[in-house]
Amino acid sequence: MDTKAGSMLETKNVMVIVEDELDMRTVIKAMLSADPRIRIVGEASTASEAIELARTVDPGLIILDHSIEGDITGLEAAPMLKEVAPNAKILLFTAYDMRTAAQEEPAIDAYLRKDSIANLLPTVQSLLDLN
Amino acid sequence: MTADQFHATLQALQVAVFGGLGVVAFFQWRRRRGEAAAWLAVTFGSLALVVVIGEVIPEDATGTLIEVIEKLTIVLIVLFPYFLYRFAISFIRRRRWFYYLATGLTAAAVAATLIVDIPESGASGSVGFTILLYLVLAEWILLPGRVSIRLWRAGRRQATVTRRRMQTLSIGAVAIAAALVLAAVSSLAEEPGATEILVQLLALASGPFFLLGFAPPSIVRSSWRIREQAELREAEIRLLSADTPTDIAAIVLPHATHLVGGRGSLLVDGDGNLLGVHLLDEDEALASARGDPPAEDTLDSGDSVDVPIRSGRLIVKASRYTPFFGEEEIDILKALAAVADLALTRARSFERERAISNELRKANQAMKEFVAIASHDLRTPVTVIKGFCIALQQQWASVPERDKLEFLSMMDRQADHLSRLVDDLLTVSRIDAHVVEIRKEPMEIAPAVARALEGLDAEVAVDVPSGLEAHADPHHVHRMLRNYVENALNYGRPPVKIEAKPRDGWIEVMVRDHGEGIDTQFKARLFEKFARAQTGGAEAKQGTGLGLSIVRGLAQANGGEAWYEPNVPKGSCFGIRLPRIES
Repeated sequence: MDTKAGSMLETKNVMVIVEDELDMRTVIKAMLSADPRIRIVGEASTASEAIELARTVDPGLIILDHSIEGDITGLEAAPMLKEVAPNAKILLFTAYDMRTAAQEEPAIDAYLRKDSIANLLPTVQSLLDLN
Repeated sequence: MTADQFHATLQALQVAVFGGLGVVAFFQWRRRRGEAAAWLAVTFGSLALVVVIGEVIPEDATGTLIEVIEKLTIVLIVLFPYFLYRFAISFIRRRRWFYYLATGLTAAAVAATLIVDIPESGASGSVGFTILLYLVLAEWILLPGRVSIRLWRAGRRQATVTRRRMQTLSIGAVAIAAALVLAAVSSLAEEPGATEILVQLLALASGPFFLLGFAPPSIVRSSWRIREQAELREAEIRLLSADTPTDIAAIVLPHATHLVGGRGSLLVDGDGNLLGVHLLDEDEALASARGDPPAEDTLDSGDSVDVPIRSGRLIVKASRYTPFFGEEEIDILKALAAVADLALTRARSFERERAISNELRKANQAMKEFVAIASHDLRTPVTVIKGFCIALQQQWASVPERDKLEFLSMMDRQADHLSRLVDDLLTVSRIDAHVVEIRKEPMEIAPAVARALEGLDAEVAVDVPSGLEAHADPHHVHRMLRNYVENALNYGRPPVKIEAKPRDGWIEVMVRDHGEGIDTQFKARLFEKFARAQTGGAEAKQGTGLGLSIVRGLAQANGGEAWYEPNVPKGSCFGIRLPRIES
C-alpha cells in the first residue's frame, strides 16, 4: 500500500485506486497525470486496504475495480467505502458489463467499462467538478 | 290349486333351481378349475342330484335298489354342509380344531346314516335314529352357520361386488341350513304338512341367493359397482393430470388395493425401484419389488395380483377371496393400471423435458459466465495497451524516458498475455465443439517429457522409464505436459518431478510439486474453465485460467483422462492417463 497522505489531506481532489493489477494501476495513474489538479494519494489492492486508506485520507473520488483481491468484490465494497468516506464519489471502473448492477447500488456514483479507458480522464474530471 | 298341486309345484321349482345351480356350478368349475370352484360344483351337483332323485323315484317304490338309492340320497344331504364348508375353507383360513370337528361330525353322521334304519315319516325311531338325528342336526347347524358367519365377516373389507356376493352366499347358507334343520325336526312331528311347505320354501329361497353369490348377472354386478366406478373415473381424471410418479402412485394405489380387497399395494418402475407404497411396510414392499417369493404363511395375507405395465409393475396384496369373487375386479384393476401406465409415461416425458430444460438452463448459465469472464479477461490487456497508447500520445513530451520504457514493457507483456488468452480460448472452443484436430500415433513418453522441459530455467527431476509408448497426438501431449510443468513451477514449490509408469492398458504421467497443494473446496472446480485458486497476488493472474480445462479436454480427446491428487507428504500431483501401446 502506497499512501501519500500528509499536507494534501485537506484537498478535495484526492484519489484512491482500488485495483489488484499493477499494470492497470500504472496505466490509470499515467492517464490521470495529464491533469495536474488530480493528485493520487493512495492505492489499494483489496477492499480492507481501501477502507482503511479511505478512512485516513478522506478522498474526493475513489476509482474502484469490481474484481479485486480478497473475498469482498468491488460492488460489495462500495457501500463500506461510502460509509467511511461519505464525501467521496465512487467510480466503478471494471472490465465486466455491470451497468445495471452499478446503477442499482446507491453508493456508486458512476460506472465506466475499462475498454472505454479513453473516457477515464473526462469522467474523473466531471465527477470532481474540474471542468 | 290344491295342497298337493302346490306341493308338486314347489317340488318342480326345487328341481329347476337346484338342478340349475348344479349346472351353473359345474360350468364355473370347468371355466375356473380352482379348488373353490371344484367344491362348489360338488356341493351343488350333489344337491341337484338329491332333488332330481327325489323327483324321479316314486314315493311308493320299494326294493333293495330303491333303499340303497334312498340311503345314498340321505348321505349326500348329510354331506352337503360339509361340501359347503370345504368350499369356504378353500379361501378362508381354516381353524384346525373346527376342521377336525366338522370332518369327524360329518363322518359320524354319514356312518350313522348308513348303519341306522330310518323309519317312515311320522313313525317313532330307534335310539340309533335319535343319535343320527342329533348328529345331523349338529352338523347342519354348525357347518352352514360357520360358513355363513365367516363369509359375512370376511366380506366386510372387500369391494362392493365381492362383499355382496359373499353376503348373499352367506344368506343362502343360512336359508339352506334352516331348511335342513326344519326338515329334520319336522320328521319327528306327527303332522309335518305345514312345516314341510316351509322347508321347501326356505330351500327354494336359498337358490337365488346362491345363484347371486356365485354367478351374479352383469346388470346386478354393475349396479353393485356404481360407487366404485364413480370413484375410479374421478381417479382416472386425477391420474391424467398428475405430474410425478409419486403423485400417480398416491392416486392409483388406494383404489387398486380397495378393488381387490387387499391389504396393500405398491407401484414399481421398470428397474424395480419403488414409486409408491400403500399400507405395506417398506421391507415387504422392497421384497415384492425385487420379485422375492412371498413368505410361506400367506393364507391370511392373500396372494399378490401382479399387473405388468410398460412402465413397471402394479402389485396388489389381494385377499384370498379375490380370485373367486373378484375376477372382474381384477380386470378393472388391469384397466386402472393401464391408465396409470399412460400417466407414468406422460410424467416420465415431463421429467425428461424438465431435466433437458435444466441442463439447457445450466449450459446457458455456464456459457453466460464463460462469456462474462472471457470478455473481462480480453478487455483487461486491451485496456492497459490502449491506456498507455493514449497516455504516451497525449503526454509524450512530459513522460520521463524511464517511464516510457516501463510503459512499453508493460504493453509488451499485456500483448503476450492477450495472445496466449486468444490461443487458449480458441483451443477451448474447439474442445467444446468436439472439433479438436487429433493426429494420434505411437509415441514414446520419455522423449516427449524431455521436449516439454526444453527452454525451462528450472530444475525438474524426471523418472520416466524408456520404452513406454502411448497412442496419442504428440502436440497435445506436449501442450498438456508443458502446462502441468509451468503450473508446478509458477504456483507450486520445488522439488518438481515428472514420473511415468504403465498401469493396465494405460500410461500415467504425473507432475509433482511440494507447494501448498490445492484447497479441498477448490478441487471440484480445478479443471473447469477460468477456475483460479485464490493464491493471492499477481501470480494467480499470470495464467489464462484455461490451462487445466485444456489439459482435461485434450486428454479426453485422446481417449484418456486428467486428474489431480494431493502429493505426499505435501504439494500437488497432476496426472494424465493415455492409451498404452504394449511393447
